[in-house]
Amino acid sequence: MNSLAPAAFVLILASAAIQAFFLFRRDGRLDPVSHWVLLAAFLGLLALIVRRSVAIGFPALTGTFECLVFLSSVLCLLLWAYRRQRGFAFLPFAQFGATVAAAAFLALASSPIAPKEALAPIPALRSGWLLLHVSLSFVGEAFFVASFVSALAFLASRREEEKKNYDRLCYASIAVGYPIFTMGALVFGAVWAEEAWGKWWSWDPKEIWALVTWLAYTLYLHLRLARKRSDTLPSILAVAGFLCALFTFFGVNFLLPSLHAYGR
Amino acid sequence: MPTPFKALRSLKLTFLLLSYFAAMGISASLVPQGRDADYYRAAMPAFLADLVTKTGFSNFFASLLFLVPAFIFFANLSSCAAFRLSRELRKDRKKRRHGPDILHLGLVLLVASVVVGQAAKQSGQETSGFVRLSVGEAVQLSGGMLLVLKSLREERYVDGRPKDWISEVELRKDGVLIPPAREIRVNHPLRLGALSIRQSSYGVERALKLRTASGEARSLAGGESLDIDSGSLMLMAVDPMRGTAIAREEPKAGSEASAAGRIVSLGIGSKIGDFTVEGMEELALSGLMASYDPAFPAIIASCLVAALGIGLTLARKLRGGFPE
Repeated sequence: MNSLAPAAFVLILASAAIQAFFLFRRDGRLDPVSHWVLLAAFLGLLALIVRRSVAIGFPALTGTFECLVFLSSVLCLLLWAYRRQRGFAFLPFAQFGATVAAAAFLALASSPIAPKEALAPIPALRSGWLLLHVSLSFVGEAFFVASFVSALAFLASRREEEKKNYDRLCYASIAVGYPIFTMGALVFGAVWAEEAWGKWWSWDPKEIWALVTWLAYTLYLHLRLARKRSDTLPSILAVAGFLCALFTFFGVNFLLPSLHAYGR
Repeated sequence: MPTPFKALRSLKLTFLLLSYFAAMGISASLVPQGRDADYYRAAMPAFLADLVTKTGFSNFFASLLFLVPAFIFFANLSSCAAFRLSRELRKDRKKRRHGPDILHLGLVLLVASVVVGQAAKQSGQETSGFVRLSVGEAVQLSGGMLLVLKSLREERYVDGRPKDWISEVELRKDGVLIPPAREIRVNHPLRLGALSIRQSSYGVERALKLRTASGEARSLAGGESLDIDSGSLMLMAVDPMRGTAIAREEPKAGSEASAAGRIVSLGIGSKIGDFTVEGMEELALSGLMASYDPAFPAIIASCLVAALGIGLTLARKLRGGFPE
């Protein structure tokens, strides 16, 4: 089990290296293998999650290490699917940025901030609602990673056609990630809180920051609706939304007192 | 000139309110909430502490700073939903997109359910609270119902850590058993209409075994109180090795005895009111939390409506593609 995470990490880094090599080539050719390497990393991380789940007798999604591994694995799968799809222009820089993000999350999972001991969850965490809450939140956040990278690329880009493509990818990522995140982080989170504590919402720092993240993306979607064209402000909001999502996960866990502390 | 309805449903107002909630939410998460004025005076400069306490920011989510904009947001959301729905209904049937309408409707219903539920909670006679029961003990619920703890068990993992706490309870009304016996487990509350009872904790406490002259037996665990003639007696600690215990005797309100109460030492044979201490034991206690939420079905229904709206919106986007 211990070798699966480092192996997946090496695969993600290898994929990033291949992508970087082709990014700097002038002929514009796409690399033929980096997305398959990411798929292999996904399978490795999936195996890690399954083995860990078997070891603790419950789906392994209740600690920081497990959540980061899950996020990284979803990102790898998403990047593979993005490369395989035909509905959008493929943007190698967006893929590269998100691959680096997947490696960064896995590196954080291996760092001391995430205890790696496989422990079965405490009674309050043994809930199907919790699994939906955590898994859908992180699937939503994987889409937000894609929107973040696209928004940054949009802000950095100077060519109009390129900006349009980045903007479209950013919008699509948020349009798909937002409802998944809403259901996972807010709806299923509230349902689980009601079952566990008898309160739908406690204005706990984690809940407040999840709501702030949701508000940022709600603003983004309504701004897009109102302006109907690519613009700098929505991209800034997409970046801000992802920074809020990061703070919700890391900042609140380690800086603010929270009811969610047992998820560390 | 914009009509009031037009102003109320404007997207600019939506942006303003969402930005306000985001900014204030961030601030409220960084400033500890619900503390007294002295805490803020000690933790921050005087003018800032005054600002926090006098504006109600120390309890932001219950203050007018939050409630007034939340009310305006509710009006904005409702009027947007109504306007959007009427606009969609004027379109050709095939071009209608009702996903966002249903989502907005779900959110309006959610806010309304929460507000109505809170109002009912404030005015209701039902009580919420926490009790610790040992097997055989009972607690009175509203509506003349009695909840009796029949059995209690703790499941553990092989490494000894707790896995689940399960209380088997039975309900009685006017002394008559209401079948069947029910289980309350962590994350699986017992729901009785608007009242739900959840397994909140489990603990093993040292306790005194008490018995009256007529043979009535009961246990008194650490932290529990027993009414006696002069007031009440709260058991503080039990030392089974020495066979002693200490308790705090609290006089009745208004009595001439010391207001601070006094510490008494107890041993086997000590008298506590009508009871005599018969021995000491380890007692398993089930911590049960009762909460009253009349809005439960309405909140679930509005979440389902919002989820349906989200699903329809997403399906439409995935099917129809994203704008260039």
